[in-house]
Amino acid sequence: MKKFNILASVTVILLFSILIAQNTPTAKSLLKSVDDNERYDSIKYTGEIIIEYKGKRFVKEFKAFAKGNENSFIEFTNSEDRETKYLKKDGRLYVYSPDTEQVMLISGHMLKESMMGSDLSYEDTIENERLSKRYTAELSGSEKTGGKDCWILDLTAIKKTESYPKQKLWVTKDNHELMKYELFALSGAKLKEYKLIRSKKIGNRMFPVESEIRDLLRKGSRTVFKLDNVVIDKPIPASTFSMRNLER
Amino acid sequence: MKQSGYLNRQKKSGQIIPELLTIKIILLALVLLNSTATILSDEPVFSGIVESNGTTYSTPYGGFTWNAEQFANIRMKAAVGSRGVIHAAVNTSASSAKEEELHTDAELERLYMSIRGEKIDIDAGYMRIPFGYGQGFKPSDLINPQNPLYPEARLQGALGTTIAFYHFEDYKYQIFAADRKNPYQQYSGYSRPLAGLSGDYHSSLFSIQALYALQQPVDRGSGVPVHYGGFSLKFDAIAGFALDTLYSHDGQNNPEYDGLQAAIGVDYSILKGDLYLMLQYLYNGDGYLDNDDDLSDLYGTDQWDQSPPEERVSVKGYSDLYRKHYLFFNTVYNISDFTRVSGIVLLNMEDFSLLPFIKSEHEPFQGLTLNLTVRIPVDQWLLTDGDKGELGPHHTGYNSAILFSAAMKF
Repeated sequence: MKKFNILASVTVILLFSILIAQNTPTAKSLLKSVDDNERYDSIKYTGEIIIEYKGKRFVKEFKAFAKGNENSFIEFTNSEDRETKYLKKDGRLYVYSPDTEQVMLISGHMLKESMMGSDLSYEDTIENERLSKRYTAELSGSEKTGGKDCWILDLTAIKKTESYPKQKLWVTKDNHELMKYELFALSGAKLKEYKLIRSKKIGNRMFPVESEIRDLLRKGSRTVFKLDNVVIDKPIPASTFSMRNLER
Repeated sequence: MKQSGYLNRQKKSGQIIPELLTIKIILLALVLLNSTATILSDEPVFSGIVESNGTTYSTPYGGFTWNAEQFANIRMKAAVGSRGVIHAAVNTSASSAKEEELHTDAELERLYMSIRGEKIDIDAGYMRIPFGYGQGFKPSDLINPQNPLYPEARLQGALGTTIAFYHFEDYKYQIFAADRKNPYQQYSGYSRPLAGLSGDYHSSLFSIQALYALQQPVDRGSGVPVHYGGFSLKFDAIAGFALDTLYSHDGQNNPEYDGLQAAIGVDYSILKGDLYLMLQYLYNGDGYLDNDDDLSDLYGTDQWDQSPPEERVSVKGYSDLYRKHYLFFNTVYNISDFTRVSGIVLLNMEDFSLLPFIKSEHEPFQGLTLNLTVRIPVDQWLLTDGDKGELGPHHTGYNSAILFSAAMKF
């Protein structure tokens, strides 16, 4: 009887472990799920950037179009920045200013600068390559974040040229939504922090339509992104991502 | 002394339309466009900037003086059907200066229409036709040239038309024609029709532009047209590099490089983009003065410095810059997202006069920008009692200038 009890206990523990193992995704598959949920072949939306910094509040409105990782086009529509446009094409960023009525290439050395006073740099805004192609992932635990049970993923950059050599991601256990992430320098210093505020079901995915990002080097600063009229993976004319469209 | 006012700056490089009737017609046209919105695919969009500014000068010709100005740049853009766009902009101002009456002015800045085709765009009217990727100096921007002494000024329009072809991705070919009127030129009363073609190519490593243009003779009696060839290149290799050149040939046997204007510059930023640095050299072959000349050769008298700039008569011609070698240095430091300080120095490398100005900008809330600019012309006369220089206090007409402005965008 005693032997039977031990055997039964071991069996239960083994079965439970197998069950847990089956429910614990691999870091690689989890990162792929995050990519599948957040990355797109094409997207268009209208957006709002709310920048709060040192007690001041700036609101910028814009229309955005993007295709893959290479092409994106943003036109600001709020009165102070009306007709300011950005084009990312072949990894380069161009800006059209209605004041100078001319297109200017934003040099590589300026890409770390804050874009329109937000907590995002130009570099952040032009990056849409899949995380799974740029980082190796390791599952480091689980934690409750924003009222949801999340897996924690530690990412390490494959290339040394990556702007953020390390990232930490909180991914929901139920539908693999990215609830939060932190971006780190090589030294381990935390540089930026992202939190999901609201997501919306678009097609088969839960897409983030309101989020907050903080540049921790800018004390007391936060930027909220709101997306409306989001259309994902519908054809966008190639002419949208052209110098011609920027000059118009 | 009325150099600080926005319109007064504009007068240096373009045409003012003083007739009140003209302005009424422009405003009426804008109102009509607004009221006939049924033909427009979208409501017209109005935007612009309203600025209050005041400037004080210390001058060698009458002590302190001042002027104050209320300025507005009002722009309108209206889509017509699916392929048409109408653009219009006016500058208006009310200004007052020491010992002068209140003065109101208005100027047509833009009035043109655009037709957008599948592969071809056509623009026609009073507009800006930009060329080149230069930084402070942009020699190839020959139709609406920027005055490097006033880099912040909006550029004057030109009456012209452009037809741009976009048959290949990353390439743009353009045919253009414009009246290149310039009040500085010797025969300022004439229009100066010019026509040409240009090509642009953008790759992931660089942007390149070439242009050729033919202009009606400067001297109508000569019968020899002026040829222009322009070339501009911008590339990025850790730092940003820009080359911008324009060569003009008027059929005269001028010295070899007289028709050449070439600017080469480099820019770089550090501290995550908070500190921007730019240095540019200009060879100005058009400059009337050679290294051995001094300003008395320009005015034909040693007594040129006895009268203020607006009363002097040049015996060689008028220009923004009279010599051949210049350096332009620009640095911008972002103290915060709302406050930045910039320092610009324009150096004449031949008489070693320089025009430094420091500008600070602050944005107390969204849409409002406060600006304080201090300009102090310096030359050898000021420092060592040597020669008076082109960018020095006597030639520019002031010892120092302090400008304060508050601008709102809408």
